[in-house]
Amino acid sequence: MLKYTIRRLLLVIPTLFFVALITFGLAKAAPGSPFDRNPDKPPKQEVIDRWNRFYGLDKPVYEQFAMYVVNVAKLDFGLSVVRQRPVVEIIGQGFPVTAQLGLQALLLALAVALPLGVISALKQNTIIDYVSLFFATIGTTIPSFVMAIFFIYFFALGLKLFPITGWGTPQHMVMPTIILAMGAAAFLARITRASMLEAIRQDYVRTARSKGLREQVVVVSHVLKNALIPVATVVGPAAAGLITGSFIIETFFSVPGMGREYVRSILALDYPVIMGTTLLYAFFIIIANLSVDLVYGMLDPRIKVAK
Amino acid sequence: MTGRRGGISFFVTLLALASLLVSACSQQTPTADQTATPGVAQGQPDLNAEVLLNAGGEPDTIDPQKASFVNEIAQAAFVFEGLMTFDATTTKPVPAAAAKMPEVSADGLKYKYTLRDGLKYSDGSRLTAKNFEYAFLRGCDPTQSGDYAFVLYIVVGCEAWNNMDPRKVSPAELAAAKAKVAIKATSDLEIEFTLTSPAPFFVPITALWIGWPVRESDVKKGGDKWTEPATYIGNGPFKLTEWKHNEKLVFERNDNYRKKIQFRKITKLMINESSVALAAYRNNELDLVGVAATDLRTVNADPELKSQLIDVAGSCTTYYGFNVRRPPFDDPNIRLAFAKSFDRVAFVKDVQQGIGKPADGGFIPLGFPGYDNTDKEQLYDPAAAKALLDKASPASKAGLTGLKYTFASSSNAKTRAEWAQNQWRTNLGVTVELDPVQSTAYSALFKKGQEAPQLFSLGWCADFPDQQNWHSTVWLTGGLSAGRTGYSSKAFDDLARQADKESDPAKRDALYNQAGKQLSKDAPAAWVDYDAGKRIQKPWLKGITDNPMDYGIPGYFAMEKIFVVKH
Amino acid sequence: MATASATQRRAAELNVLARKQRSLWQDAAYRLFRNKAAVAGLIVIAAAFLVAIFADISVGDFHFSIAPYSPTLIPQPPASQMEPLWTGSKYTDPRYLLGTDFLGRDILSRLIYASRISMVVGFVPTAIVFALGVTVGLVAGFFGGWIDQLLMRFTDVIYAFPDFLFLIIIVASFRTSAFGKIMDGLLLIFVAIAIVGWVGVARLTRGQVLSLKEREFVEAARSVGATPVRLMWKHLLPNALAPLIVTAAFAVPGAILGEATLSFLGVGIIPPTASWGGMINEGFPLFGTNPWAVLMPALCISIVMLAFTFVGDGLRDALDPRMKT
Repeated sequence: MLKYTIRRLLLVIPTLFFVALITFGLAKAAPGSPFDRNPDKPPKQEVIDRWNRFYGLDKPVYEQFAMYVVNVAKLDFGLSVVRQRPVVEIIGQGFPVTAQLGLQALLLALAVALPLGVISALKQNTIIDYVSLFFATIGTTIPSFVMAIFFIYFFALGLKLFPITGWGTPQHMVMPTIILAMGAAAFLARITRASMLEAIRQDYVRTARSKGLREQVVVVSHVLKNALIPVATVVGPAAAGLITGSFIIETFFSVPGMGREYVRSILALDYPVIMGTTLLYAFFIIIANLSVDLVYGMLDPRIKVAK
Repeated sequence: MTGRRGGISFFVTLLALASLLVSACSQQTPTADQTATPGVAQGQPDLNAEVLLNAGGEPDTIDPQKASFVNEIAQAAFVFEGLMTFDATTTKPVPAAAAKMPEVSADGLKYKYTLRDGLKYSDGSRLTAKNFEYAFLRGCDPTQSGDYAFVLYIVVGCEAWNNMDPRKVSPAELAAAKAKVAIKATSDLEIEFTLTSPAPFFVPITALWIGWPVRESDVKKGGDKWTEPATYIGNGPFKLTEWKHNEKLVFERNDNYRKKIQFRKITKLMINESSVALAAYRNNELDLVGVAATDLRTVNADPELKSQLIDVAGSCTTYYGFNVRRPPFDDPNIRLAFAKSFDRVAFVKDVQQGIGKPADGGFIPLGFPGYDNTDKEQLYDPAAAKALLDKASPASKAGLTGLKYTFASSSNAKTRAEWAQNQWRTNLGVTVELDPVQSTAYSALFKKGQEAPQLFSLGWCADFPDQQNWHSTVWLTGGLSAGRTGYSSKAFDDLARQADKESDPAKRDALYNQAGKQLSKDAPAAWVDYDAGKRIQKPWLKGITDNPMDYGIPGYFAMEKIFVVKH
Repeated sequence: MATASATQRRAAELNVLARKQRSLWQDAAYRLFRNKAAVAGLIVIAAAFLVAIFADISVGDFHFSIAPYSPTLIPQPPASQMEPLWTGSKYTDPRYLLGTDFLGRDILSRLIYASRISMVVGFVPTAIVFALGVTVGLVAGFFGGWIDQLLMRFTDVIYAFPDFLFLIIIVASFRTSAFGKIMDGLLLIFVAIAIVGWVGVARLTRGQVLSLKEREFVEAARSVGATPVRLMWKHLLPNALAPLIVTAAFAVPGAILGEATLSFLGVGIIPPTASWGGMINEGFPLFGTNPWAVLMPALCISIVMLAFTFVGDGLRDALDPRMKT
């Protein structure tokens, strides 16, 4: 198990290398220059040349990439081309906000999804089941930006409960967190329900019941534990998904997080920020995927993680 | 993993907690600093007030010598003040840090500015002519300057120095070139500029942000980060006290400023979407917000909002550019046909919802010197347009197939492009394909000369109110739009150059008007509209004098007249 | 001598014997059509297809469309920002049932034409994703060894990218190139969604193949001399199909949502072509004035996605061999 973990962790480095390579290639393939920000008042060629030299953008592409890799090994992620501040500083300011938003959403999603999934599995095919399935489906099918519009319209403007923009106080956090949590909650609820249903049908449950144990004991001690294993494995990727997928919410609610900055940097061709953020996100996703296998291995005694 | 007792009771508890949270939060009000001075009567200025504005987005840089976007210049404008500024009502340059209008030598080449006595930076230290010398030189410095260095090229030596390549030239040569730049502080309170040729438009140039007095010590101390609050010290009405990147900027009154400002604090949020900003305004998170054409119906439908609506004069002209180097637009008949085949009045009414003015007076917009409403060369006339099209040469007409309209994509631009496409199809029978391009890639397309886009969107906004900044800067051979379109007309060049040097104001205006008509007739571009805007502001914000040049800060040129009543 | 009940029992037995054997697929189909939600979903999808097909039929000179107006021509003078007729507000126009957008184009017509984009975007990339993913998964799972390792490491790299952001990077980078202009940007969107999506399918297929590989029927086929290709195609694939079908059913709405998000951010379909996501993008600034301009395309997307989700759920339940009918 330990060997497996270490092997997988070592694989992270070459994976990140290729992620960087692909991202770099794509960003460079996009035509244009980050210094041509103003379509109507383009700077003189000399000014652009000077900026290109300063950021090393005049060198051949493979040389730029090599330099970048070497710098990253030294933990130097460069300067943002557009903002002229270190990438690490920009990420350092935006990421905690995104992480906080994502984790809050995850906790909320779990708090809602787990009980919902369990109950609707236990009361399968009753009204409760149908209603929660309905909400779960709604949560995954309505695009988040549409939900955000609804929320702004009703809660902020209509009921005047929450401020629309910004971040910092608990009131600011409510709407973005709820909307972000909805998709994850719906997804988690369905998984919980499905795995509960699966677990309930297992033979050992019939055995426990036939032994005469009370229904609640049966549920709690046997079914729940096993049913939650698939859910636990999914938590990692769900968290990664929330953290990397929050950019629309952030744009809408002017949350100063990493996601908004990332989209902006892609559209503005701010290469160092694109690279730095992609690497960070990829790292999280890789760790999250690894956590799936590890959690499975730890929790399910039947599974021996493949060699 | 221990089991959970009764999923339902857990859920109920959660609901209870949630409703507690909701009710607790609804008691508080969002952000605004409500510490108004006690005992202030209604209608009296609240000297402790805070004004909430929208910066639109995070500015990329607020360094005055590097800034080029309005939202960058606007932040610097709160903190710095130049030699000159513009009068809030007449838009004529008036002395700011300078004590009086500059003394101009008889040959029109030497300008001498005298500073007011006793001017200070926000940290209390003295402002001298040397600070201005440093700032203007920095504006020409090839290692420091930004997109606007070109306005200083009229000063002897600036262009030569600015065009040097610091990598290829030795430090000694750079220093020698710098020494040749004719900007000198001759005493603590006096600074002299020598120009390459007589240029009456130099006076408004000394009001621009490129000459705002940043301090050498601050730049050296802060390095890349000198624009952070600790080292961003200026001589303007406010000081930058906080910059939470991507979130907000906070400015507080500079008590060392030469005029008395009547409110204490400005907080600028960063909201990109206009509809979200409008929602924030209704929620009292903003005191003032611009109203886009798409929001106009909402505002007009609400009587309270409607009463707060104010017109804002603009400083820009938008136009369609033609690549005159190849078919179809190498033929002036086709160019003029396109220019006369779309209804500007309908454009402003339908697409802009009445915001702005149709471009009925040539290149320069209404409200600026050089606006010429006798210039009817491009008047909307579909019949005449069709006739012109028929007159065109077959070789050029062949270029009409597969014609594309290229523009920097944004949701506004898309709407406008679709409208134009429709007009040309209906009035000329020409099908134009839409070609939206990322704004960062847009300028690069024009480097290809021949292969540059054939039909594209363009615009120009005034840097300072003078025809030189319009006709000469933009349309002389090699000028900003001239370069993009490939336009080069000796007739136009001669007229404009003559006008640039002419010191008699009446003759100058006449020459520029002639040049303008020539330009409209040659039609390297089709003028569309003069922009304008609308905004809404809260009734407790008073004393704002609007001006089209005000960097997006309403009332900027008469900041001391703005006040907030207790609310 | 037979009693009445004995006769009944015998008759029942005969009935049982007389009933035809059902294959797994027929079983699944039967269960699917018993699932009311799935049937409703199938009806909606069929309806969407019909709308998409009849939105524009142009054969030579013959032209037919169920849309009342053109989706891209702007009428002069335009009636802009009209609201749907049922709202009863003063800003309605009897000519336009669902109202108009900012430029005065009929929303109903645009919705109808946009359905074509969404249907195509749903199915074509999914088909590519499956063609690519299944092939890679089959090969990797079947041959194992270094091929498997290589392919899996490659998929690891793609997997590490956050889905939507990868999509945005690809589209934003190539949008201005010649490739990005083909079919109003649709081809680029297909390719981008395919690049991002094939990895999951490959992994799933590989997992299925791994578990099926050791089963008896594979050994049996091998022992009679089946080639690898035949093994993969005729034996492994059909048995691995069930979860793949379910995944496909969920991939379609994912692709639709992907295109909608891209268009919403402004990097999707090139205007003036109508797409539901694009209509949300255009209608968003008007939300305070006329929320229906946003709600209608959002509803369309949601309903179609909901339909596919029900069908997907239904398929999953139908194809699960352990569920009792």
